Amino acid sequence: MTKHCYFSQNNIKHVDYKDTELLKKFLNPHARLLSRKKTGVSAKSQRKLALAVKRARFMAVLPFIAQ
Amino acid sequence: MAKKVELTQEDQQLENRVYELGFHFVSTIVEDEVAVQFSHLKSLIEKRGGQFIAEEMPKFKNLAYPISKTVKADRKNYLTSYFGWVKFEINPEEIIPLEKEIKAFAPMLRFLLIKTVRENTFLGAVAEIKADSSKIVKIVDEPVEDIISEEVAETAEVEANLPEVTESIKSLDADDEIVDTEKVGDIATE
Repeated sequence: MTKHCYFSQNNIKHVDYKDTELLKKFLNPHARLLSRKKTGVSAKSQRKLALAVKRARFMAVLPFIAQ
Repeated sequence: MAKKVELTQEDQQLENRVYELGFHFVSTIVEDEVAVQFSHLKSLIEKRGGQFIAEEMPKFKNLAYPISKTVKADRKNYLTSYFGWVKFEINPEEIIPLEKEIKAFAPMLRFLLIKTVRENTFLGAVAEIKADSSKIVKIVDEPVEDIISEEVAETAEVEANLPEVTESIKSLDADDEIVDTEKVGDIATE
């Protein structure tokens, strides 16, 4: 299993809530955020990712729950 | 003393911060009206001394879940909206009154005002550019393929001539061997 941070590999310093395609990579089919254990994202980037996902949910860009 | 005053002025300039306003306009407004409302919204920011860095015109979009808006006693659910964003630089003291104005802005369904950085953080735009550049690469690839095919044709010709060439080389080798043995013989006799 690869344990490399997607964001540091692609040199992404800021996670934007409008990047839905990027954020969807880190969500499970129920639109819940995947754990660091599964994504391999660094702690710093995971915090930024979580904030971006929460902003995207508020702006109805991503769902809170998907059936 | 004069120096101190200058410093404080500089500090005030430094205090300017970059913000991003993402917003949804209600989908009940006419499509032609969207650009007009967007310019109205931008004028609110401009009045308070905001300088624009980047923006995207509101586009019609399906929402991930219904958002309700209450106007007087009338509550409506919206499943679609016009989503746009604008990035600007402004003095932080102006941001709270600006937020109140945006909240009172009539066609606003929902908005998000966040602190951000000057650089482009939206990778969607970058990805589009990358996709376009790949097209250019493809165009460049075509002549390269032609060159390769020409090379292949040349190698095919060489391969066709190979038996003749190898025979001539073999004959040369045989001559060399004879010469070599003669030389060896000479060396041995010496």
